[in-house]
Amino acid sequence: MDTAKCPVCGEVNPADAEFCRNCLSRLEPLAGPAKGEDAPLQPGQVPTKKTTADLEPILPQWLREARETARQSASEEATDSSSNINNPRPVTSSKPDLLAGLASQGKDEDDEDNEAEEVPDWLVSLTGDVPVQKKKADEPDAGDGQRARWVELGRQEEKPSSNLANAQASSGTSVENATPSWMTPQEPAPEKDELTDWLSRADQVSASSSTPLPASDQPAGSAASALPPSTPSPSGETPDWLNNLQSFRSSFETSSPSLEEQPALSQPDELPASASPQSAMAGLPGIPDWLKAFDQGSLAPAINSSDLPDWLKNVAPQGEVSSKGESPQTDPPPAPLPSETSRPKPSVESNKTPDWLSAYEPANLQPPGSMPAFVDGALENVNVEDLNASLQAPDWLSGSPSETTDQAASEANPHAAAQTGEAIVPAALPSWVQAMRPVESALPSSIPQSGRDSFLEAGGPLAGLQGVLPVGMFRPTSKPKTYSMKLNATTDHQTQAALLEQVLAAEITPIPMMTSSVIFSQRVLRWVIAVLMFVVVGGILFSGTEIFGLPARIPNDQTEMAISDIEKIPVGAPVLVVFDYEPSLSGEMQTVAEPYLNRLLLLKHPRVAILSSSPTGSALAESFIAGPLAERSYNSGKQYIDLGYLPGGLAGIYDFARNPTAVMPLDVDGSPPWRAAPLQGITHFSDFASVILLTDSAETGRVWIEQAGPMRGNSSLVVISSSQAGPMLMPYFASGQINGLVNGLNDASKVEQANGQAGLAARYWDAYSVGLLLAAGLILLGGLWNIVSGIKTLAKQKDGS
Amino acid sequence: MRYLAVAIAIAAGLIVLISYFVPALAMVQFVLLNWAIILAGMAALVGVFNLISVHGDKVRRREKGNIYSAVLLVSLFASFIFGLALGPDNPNIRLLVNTVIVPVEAALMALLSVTLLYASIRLLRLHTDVMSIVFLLTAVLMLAASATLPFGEISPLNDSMRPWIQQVLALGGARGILIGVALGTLTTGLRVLFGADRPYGDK
Repeated sequence: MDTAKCPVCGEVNPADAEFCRNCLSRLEPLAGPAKGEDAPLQPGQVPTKKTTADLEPILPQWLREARETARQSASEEATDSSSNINNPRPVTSSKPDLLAGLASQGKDEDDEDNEAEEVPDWLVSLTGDVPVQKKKADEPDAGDGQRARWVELGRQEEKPSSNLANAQASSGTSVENATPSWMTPQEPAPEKDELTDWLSRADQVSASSSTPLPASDQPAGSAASALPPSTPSPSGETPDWLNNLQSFRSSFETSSPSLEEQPALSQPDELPASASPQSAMAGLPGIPDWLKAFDQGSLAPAINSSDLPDWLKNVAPQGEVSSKGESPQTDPPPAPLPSETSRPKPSVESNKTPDWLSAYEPANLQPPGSMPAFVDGALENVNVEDLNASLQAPDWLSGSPSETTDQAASEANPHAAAQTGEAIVPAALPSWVQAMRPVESALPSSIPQSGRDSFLEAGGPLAGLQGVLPVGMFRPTSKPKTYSMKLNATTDHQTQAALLEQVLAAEITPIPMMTSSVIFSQRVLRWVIAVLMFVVVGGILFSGTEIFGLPARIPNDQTEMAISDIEKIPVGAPVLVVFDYEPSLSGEMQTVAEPYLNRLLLLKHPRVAILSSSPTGSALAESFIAGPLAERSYNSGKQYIDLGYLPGGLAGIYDFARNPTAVMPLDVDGSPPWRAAPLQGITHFSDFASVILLTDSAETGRVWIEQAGPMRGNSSLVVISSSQAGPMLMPYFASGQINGLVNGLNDASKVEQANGQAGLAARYWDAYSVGLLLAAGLILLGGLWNIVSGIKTLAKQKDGS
Repeated sequence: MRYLAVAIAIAAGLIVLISYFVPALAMVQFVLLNWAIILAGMAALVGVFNLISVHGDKVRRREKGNIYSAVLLVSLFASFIFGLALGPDNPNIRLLVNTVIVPVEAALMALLSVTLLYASIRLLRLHTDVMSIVFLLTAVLMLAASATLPFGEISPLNDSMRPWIQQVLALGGARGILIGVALGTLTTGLRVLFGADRPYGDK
């Protein structure tokens, strides 16, 4: 046996069950219409019956409880109907809509709904719609079921007291077969709320039927019966007796009073008996018996209150009830109508029409077709405004039945809605709205009817709507949707991409520099300068000429002070000679230092200590002693000591000046120098008789002067420098921080002149002078040539511009 | 570790600086300076090792110009071995210095003279302004004033122009440079003492 498991509570249910027998939840699908409800209605097809009792299990608990309570209260109301007649409650149509259909759960509910949804033909014709094919009158219990439905809906209080409404209400009697179609209680369910206002007012009027009302105060329903003949009448549905009645229109018009003299149309009781058209109907063929009885005035109130059910007593006209001499009403009865006593009392013994219902029989009505549209002289004294007010059609008549909703009715007649208090609670749809699910003909044809979008909502506020929510929106998917990674680039896209690439490529493309023959001319110029210098200077140097005169000695200058400082050194005194120059300038430095050191060694025979703050200084010192000073026959370890390289730069020089024996404990040979003969007795820096600094750098000379100068004591400090460092050391000589300065080949020639022996300075002087003059001449000529060429260029640019 | 290095550097600088004014700290200053001399000597040795490493990598990777690196390494090791074995006063070492080191560096200096002369000629081609003209005129005057003519000096240049330029213009400029150097050195020393500059490895 196939079973279905409830997705909510897990209860096992039969396979064909739609709802869980335990929790009443929908088994499957969880949403959507119930079984058999998803088939759309076709145009012309009668909507299927709505068994609300079957739908009750799906209602929420609170709603089911409310419905149950309503059932109980309905039964209690039926029991207390007699007391209610005596003590009628205020007529109200504000019963909650959700309770409106509680009474429709009888066994005839299906038929009732079908009939309730049908709109009377004449009403449909008024709105211009095609009348719906009415249900056959010979169907069993159709009228009973509709009547029961009408009563169950609790709208009997809302039944209009107008002739039309009363005629519809009376269509449920046993004489229904003989009742014309316009009297058939085809009360459309959607209009019942719109009718609340004027129906309730009409009900009140019917309760006080003896009180004449002015035409302006009459309810709209009464005016509906007096619609002009231009309103399309359901001629096709007009019964024979009514058609035959047309032939007596002329006689009726002549016998009927004018509008001024006639009472309100809604007060059929006020119509004079002689003016009743039913008097003429008696002799017409095809007129039903009960209508003939009207004509004969034999409609006596044969039905007493005991014959009526309790619920019907509430809705029966009070005049009729009171005429039976039953318990008087609490409210004072209205004034009796003048024609009440003369009003025809149709006997309903034969057709079983109740007395109170006889007041609403067509005999008391003014049929729309029975009143001529225009009567000569009838409207002479009629107030047009009052007439317009009386002719004002109700809202439900002016609009399409499909458009008449409770909200529209409330908007069209807010006063009535507020008066009746019938406000629909949001999301609490009345049962008749639920029953009026849209059929296919009412839906726009443009709505897609595909299987995916044709999902019909079964519950909630969207019940009955189709295709509102997508079906598969919340459906879980186990496999993600795949998308193609292929780039779909159109031709335009590719063209734009190519253009973008070109732009980007142009940004990184190097711009070629302007090349000219300037580089070639520059190379030539360099070669010309180099060749010229080598040829001129080299030629003069290797020629050995001494044509150029030596610079003259200047008394008391830095060179003369250096020469005179030698004179102050004692013979055999220790002298510190610092070799701090690079091999690149060794040629100039040897030429400059050679005459000064020859003079010193020749005259004073000092003990020499050699030190260098440059790594190559020691080797250069050895080469200098072995080269230009070779004639003095100074030997290492005997006349001089090479202390080697003094590291540390400024700190080393300062530390050596503070404690030379501790800083330089070993010489280049690895032996302790301070115990050797050249350095005996030397413990401090000031023990040296003179410090002679050979440097090609102004920085090195500055460090020695600044760091070792304060510790030299009375010893002299003479600087022998190259031509490039001389100008920077001149301030120290001017300030007295050094005792003498021999600067370059110019000062070396002066020392040679002082020695009285031509040396390297004199040998190099001609080449040196020619080289200087050649350089000055080239710079001067080149500068002039460049100035002229620049002026020409500017002139060309001006001419070009 | 970083703060320890900063503390040591500042403390050493302050001790050496204060020892100029406080004789009692002279011994501490002497020790610190000896450490500086030793470290400087080791720095030269480390420089030699770095030179060997860089050029050794070039030879091993056969990069462009590796032959020059190979010659440099061979010369370095030969000079080191011969110098360490024979000593700097050895005639062979002096020969090596006089025939290789001195001529090579002197040749580079000679090339500099040609280059400077060419730049001076091209100066007005590139920058034709007043300062360039003044610079070139000064150079021409000093060159001409430093030389002599065949039969004597150029009296206005050698007698008055050259001494005036040397003793006034050059001396004034040199003094300004020296004062600027002294102030820069002072500022640098203070920044190092305050820890603003950390030339010993940390920013």
